[in-house]
Amino acid sequence: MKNTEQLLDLQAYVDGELSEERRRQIEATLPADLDAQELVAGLRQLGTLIRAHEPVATVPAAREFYWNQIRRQIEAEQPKAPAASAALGWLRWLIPAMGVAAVAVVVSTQQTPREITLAGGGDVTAVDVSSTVFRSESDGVTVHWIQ
Amino acid sequence: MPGSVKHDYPSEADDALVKWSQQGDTEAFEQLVFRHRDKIYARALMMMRNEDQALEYSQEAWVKAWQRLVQFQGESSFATWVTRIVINLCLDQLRRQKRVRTESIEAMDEESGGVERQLPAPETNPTAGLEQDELRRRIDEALGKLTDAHRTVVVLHEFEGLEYKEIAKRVGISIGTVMSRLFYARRRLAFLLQSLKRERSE
Amino acid sequence: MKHLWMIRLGCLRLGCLLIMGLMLPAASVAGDLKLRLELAWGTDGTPPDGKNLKELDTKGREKLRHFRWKNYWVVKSTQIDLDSKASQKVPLDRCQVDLKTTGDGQVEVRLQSINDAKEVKLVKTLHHSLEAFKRGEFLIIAGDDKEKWNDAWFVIIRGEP
Repeated sequence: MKNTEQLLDLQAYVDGELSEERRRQIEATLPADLDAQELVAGLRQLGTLIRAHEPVATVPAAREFYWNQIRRQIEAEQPKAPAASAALGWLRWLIPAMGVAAVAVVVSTQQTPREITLAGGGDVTAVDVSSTVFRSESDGVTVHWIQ
Repeated sequence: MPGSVKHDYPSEADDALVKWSQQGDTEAFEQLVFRHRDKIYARALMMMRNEDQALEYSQEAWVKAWQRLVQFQGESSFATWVTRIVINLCLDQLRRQKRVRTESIEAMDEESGGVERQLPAPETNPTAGLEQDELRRRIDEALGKLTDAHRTVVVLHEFEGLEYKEIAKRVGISIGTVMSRLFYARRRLAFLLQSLKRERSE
Repeated sequence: MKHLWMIRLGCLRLGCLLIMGLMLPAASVAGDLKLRLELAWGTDGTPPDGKNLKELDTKGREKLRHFRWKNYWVVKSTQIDLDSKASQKVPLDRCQVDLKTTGDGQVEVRLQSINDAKEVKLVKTLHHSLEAFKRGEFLIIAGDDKEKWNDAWFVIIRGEP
């Protein structure tokens, strides 16, 4: 009878989770260990069986109903469509009272900075391909939002 | 701009639909939802074992997928990406639910080794004569008899193909706990599948 | 003989200087900068089970008031004195911040992520005004949490005048 550690080791061997060295050790002992062989075979068989017969299910709702629920939630939580550019994505994290309605955006190419003025008195001073910078002089804070 | 060019959405591949969705095309996104809704719902149902919750979380996953579309960079298939979203939602809910009593009993059983100390010896063909659908149904039934904690690790490992380390991180447990839960869950499943076969042949 | 005495005196002086150097507290020298670095997690939820995280203080929350999260949990907090002559690595949780003053009135800040295999990857390099820090201003580097939907991480660097 194997102890727990040995059993879990054999499981890890089947799952490919062992180091190369440990894997070789187990493979070396397997030919002489019938219990281990049986366990390994059993685990492999069970895994193959389960994965090949993953339970399926069908959404128990008509297409339109299912989609309409989703669409309404999207509209309720995010009035605007996703930002056309990833550089503006962070704006959705601003509190509604100050964010979206108060933003004036000068759209240009991705390589040139955009100027965005926020109602709270802060300015977005630069956007590069990896981050957006927000600075508020009055608050004494600069935020670099990484995309 | 959505609607300015008419696309034949059903015939388009996911890549194109995702790209248009990222540009704000809700019709393209609807097509993605239609195409993959069953898979996402099935995963939620497997985790939650409750149709209402599975419906709710699968829809919530689609909403979050829309909100996070800009983050999808094609590192996996779109369906896999949304599946991960619904799994995270289900994990959050399962943590909140904390079905403590059942977990404790199973945990003790797990620690002591339970009645099925070893995996049942594999039969030559334990599923001989079974149709594919019947087999799926039996596996689903057996999964349903596991606790949330044990079923979660099985789903993440066997169906999502995650490594122990990744499962540990997502579920918030140690790798050792992942291993022991997975082993116990496999023992239970093998035992249950054999039991179910015996019941039905009687 | 005289020469030997002079050598011994020289050694004594050097020894005294060394001892004095060791005995002197790490006093603030002109150009030293006190900074507090914090890694915080923005979420509407509670911290993960078992994690005893404190909330970000009032001043920090004030600086983040434009963002929509209800809670900011501090994962790690460290205070340092940034010597004007040296750079400093500040480990946080799964990331590290390298800081150094560049001599032109700026502080260079390099944020690096560290994965489970301890591999270090540069996330962002930026520069911030030394004077701004000395006035007590905040520099924040933030981003979406890729794992927890609707959550975000914040590396908060504040000058402590």
